[in-house]
Amino acid sequence: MKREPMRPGGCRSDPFDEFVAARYQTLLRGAYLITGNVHDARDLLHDALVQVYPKRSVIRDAGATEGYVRMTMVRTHVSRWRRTRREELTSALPDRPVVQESGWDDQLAAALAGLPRRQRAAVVLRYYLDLPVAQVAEELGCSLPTAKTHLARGIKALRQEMELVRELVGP
Amino acid sequence: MSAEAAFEEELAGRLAERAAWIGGSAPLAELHTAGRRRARRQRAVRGAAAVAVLAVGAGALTQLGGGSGDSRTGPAGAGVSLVSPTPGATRSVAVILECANGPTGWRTLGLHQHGKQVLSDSPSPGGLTPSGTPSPGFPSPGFPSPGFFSSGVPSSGGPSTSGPSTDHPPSGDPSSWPTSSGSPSPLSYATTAQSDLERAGQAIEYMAMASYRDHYFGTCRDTSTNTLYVMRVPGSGLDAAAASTLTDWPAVKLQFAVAAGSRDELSAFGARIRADREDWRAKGVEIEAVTVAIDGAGVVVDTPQWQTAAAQIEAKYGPQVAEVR
Repeated sequence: MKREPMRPGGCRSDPFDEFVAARYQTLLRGAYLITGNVHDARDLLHDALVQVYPKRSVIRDAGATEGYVRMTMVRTHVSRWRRTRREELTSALPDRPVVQESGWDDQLAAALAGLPRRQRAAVVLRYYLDLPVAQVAEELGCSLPTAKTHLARGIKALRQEMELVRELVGP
Repeated sequence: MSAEAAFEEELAGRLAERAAWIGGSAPLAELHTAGRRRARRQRAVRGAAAVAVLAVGAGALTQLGGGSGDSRTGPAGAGVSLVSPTPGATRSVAVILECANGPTGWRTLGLHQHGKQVLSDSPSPGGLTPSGTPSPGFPSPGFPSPGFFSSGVPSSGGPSTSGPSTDHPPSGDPSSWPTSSGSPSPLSYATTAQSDLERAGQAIEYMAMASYRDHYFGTCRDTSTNTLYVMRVPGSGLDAAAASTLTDWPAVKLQFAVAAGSRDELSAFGARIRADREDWRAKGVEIEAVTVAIDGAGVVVDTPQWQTAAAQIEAKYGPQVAEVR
């Protein structure tokens, strides 16, 4: 993404800022579906934006910025290093969040929570963000067949889980 | 529509609905601050990594006798580049070089080598073997005072007993040096012995660079005789400390060689000669390279005018000039 030197009005505008302001909500929603928690989602998204920030001047295509941020987000989330770094066993119960989590569709939330991280990310990228499978593979950092496998397994697991609940609870 | 496609469509709708309540505005100021901090940290890490790589490279070059730029390296690594004498580098890289028959084994005939001894007048046992490696007992041209002495235990089966140590009187106090088993290592123990030698050499290198930097030049190893050669300026507690260090490796033999100066001292001396290049150029002497002799004999000066300028250079700088070639 090239930085524009000066706007006609005279004020300097950073295209990255414009991009963040415009796409923040969409990215945050994707992050929420990937992590399952609004706090983790913010944390993940902000980490990804901070990682991209120093490189913003070398992103040539402004349209690619969102994909780049998303890819950073997904890869950061599924990386083992982050997973082990952030998960610490403790006997103390955490404070409950004041923010009211969405109580809607807990069935889906539970089914998503049962998926491995890569499968969950693949499902979100494909079915929430509506990305083609090839791009899902690219953003996950894996081959196309691997991405297809993640998607197929993720969908299968979700379907089984949700149908099981449906059978138990009834339509 | 198949059941699978229907489920996928339903899933897409439910995902969108589940995420729909999420909102918020981007904390741009915090992101800028954190982003700038990350950029600074990345620059610092890259800088540190570059410095570390340079330091390791310089240390390896120093140990291997390589040079860069205009430094000319003699065969078998006769000199050490002074282009980037990084004091810390040699401390962190303890590469113990192989020196068959001690450090003087490194000194080989240069193309114009003449030094203080007329080598053409000293036929065998000195001279080059067909492979270019000096044969045992090859004299060290220009070496001020090699001063080898043995620990009193002959190197088992190795040719070092006929080396320069017989030509030069011992110096220092050899009484406290550890002795070895005196017999060559069996083939089955060769690898262990070699790693012991390496570890012992590194232990001495670290100890000496930490505590006797003003007297220590370097250490090399002769795996054929399981001997470490410590090159140093006599007159410090280094000899005793080295012997003490080796108590953990009783099979490793220890010998000492007199160096013309410590590593730092010779590096600084070489730098001083390099600084005078313009003066020498004005006198018609082109100094191509100044290197520290890897055996600690002093500094080696490379110049095309070696025949005419050697005496002047040696007169000006003294005996620490090991060779003008």
